[in-house]
Amino acid sequence: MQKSALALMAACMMFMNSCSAEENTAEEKNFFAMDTAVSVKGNGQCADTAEEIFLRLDGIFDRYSPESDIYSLNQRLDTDISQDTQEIITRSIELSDKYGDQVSIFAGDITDCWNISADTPKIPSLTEINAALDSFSNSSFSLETMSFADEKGSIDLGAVAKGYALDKISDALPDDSWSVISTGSSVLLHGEKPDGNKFTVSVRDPETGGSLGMITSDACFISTSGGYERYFEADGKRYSHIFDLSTGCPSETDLTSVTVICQSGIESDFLSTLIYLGGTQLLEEYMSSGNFGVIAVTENRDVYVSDGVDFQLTAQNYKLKEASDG
Amino acid sequence: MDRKFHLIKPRELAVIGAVLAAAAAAVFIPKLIGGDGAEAVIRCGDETHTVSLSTDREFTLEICGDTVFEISDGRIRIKNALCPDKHCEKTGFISSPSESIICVPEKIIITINSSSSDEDKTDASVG
Repeated sequence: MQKSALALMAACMMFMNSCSAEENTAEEKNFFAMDTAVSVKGNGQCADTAEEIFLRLDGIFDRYSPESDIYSLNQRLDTDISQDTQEIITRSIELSDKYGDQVSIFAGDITDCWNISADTPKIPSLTEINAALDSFSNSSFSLETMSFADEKGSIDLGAVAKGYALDKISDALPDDSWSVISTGSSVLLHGEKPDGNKFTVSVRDPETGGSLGMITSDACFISTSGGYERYFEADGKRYSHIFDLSTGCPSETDLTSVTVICQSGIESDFLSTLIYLGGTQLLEEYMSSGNFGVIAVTENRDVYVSDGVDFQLTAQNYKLKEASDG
Repeated sequence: MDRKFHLIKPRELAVIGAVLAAAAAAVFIPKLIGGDGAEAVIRCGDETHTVSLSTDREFTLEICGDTVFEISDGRIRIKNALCPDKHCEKTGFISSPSESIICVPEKIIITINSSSSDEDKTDASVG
C-alpha cells in the first residue's frame, strides 16, 4: 500500500512538472550588440548564428570604433570597405530614393552635434546646428568609389543597422527552422512555431512601458520607432533621439510610436522612422501601401491600424481609429 | 472488526494525507505569499539571478556590483544605476512579462517570469 502513496506522489509531481516542460527544445540566448540587448529563442543554431552576425556587423558599422568601416569612411581614411558595409549603404540610399530622404544615413553630424547619449547632454547653439545641417545637406557620396566627394557628410547607420542584421540572420537560418530574435525596437519572426500557432508580439505602450496590445503574425520583420525610449531632458523639455533632418533638431512629431510590419528588416526599420517623423498629417498615404502593415499611435492616444494587420488593442486608455477618420 | 474491510490502513492514510498536503502546499503557498508567484530574472553580464517579487525590499546583487534594485507591490525597478545615462532608472517599475529593463553600459537585463495568465505568454515585445 505504500506503493499507492508513491504513485500518488509521482502523479502529483508529473502534474506539476507538466506546466513547465513545454519549449524545452528551444535554445535561448541574450547578448549585447549595437548598443542594445538582443534576445534569441528558437532552434537550428539560431542563437549562435544571430550572435555571430550581430557582433560582426557591430564591429564594422560602429562609427565610434576606429576599427570600423564607418569610422574609416567618416574620417576619409583609404581602407577597404567590406561587402556588408557596401550593401547597407546601397540599400539605405535605395530606400531614401523610394520612400523619402527624411531618413538618411548621412546625417551623422546632426546626431553628433546633439550628442544626446553624452553624460551631460546640452542643446547646441544655432551656429552648431546650421553647420551640421550644411554638412548633411551638401554631402555627396559615390557608390562607385564608396567614398565621400569632400569633407561634408558623416555616416550614422543607427536607423537601419539592426534591421539589416536581422535580414542577414534571416538569410543564414535554415528554412525549416524557427526563431524569434528581438533587439527591443526590431524583431525577426522566422519560420513556423513548433506548436503550429502564429507568433504573438506585444507592442509597447509609449507612455507607460506596459503593453499597448498584441500583434498576431506569420513570419515577418517588425520594427517600432518612438521618441520615448532614448531621449534627454534640458530646460524642462524632452528631446527625442530621432532627428528632423529639415531642421537639424529632434523631431516634434505628433505620433508617439509607429510600428511597421513587412518582409524586410532594413525596410521595416527605415519605414517606422520615416512614418514616425511624418506625423499624423502624412499617415494616411502609408496606411494603404499594401506592402507593409502599420500601427501608429498619436499623442491623443488614438491608434491607427492598417488593413491586414492582426492587432488586438489591450491598453484601456487608447482607442482604435479607422484610417479614414483621420 | 474484520481487517478486509479496511481498504486503507490508518498509517497509509497518514502518508497519503501528508503527500496531498505537501502537494497542496506546493501549489498554493507560492500563491498566498507571492501573489501570482511572479519572479524577476536579473541578468548581469553572463550571470543570472532569479528573485521573487513577493516581498517588498531594496537590495544589491554580487553579480551586479553596486546597482540597487527595488521590489514594491510585485514590481521591480533599478533604483540606483551605475551607468552615466540612467536610462534604466527612467524605465521605472515593471511587473509584466511583456516588459523589461535594460542597461546597456552595465549589461543588465531584467525580465519577468509569470506563473499565471497565458495571455502574457507572447513571443516577443517591440517598442
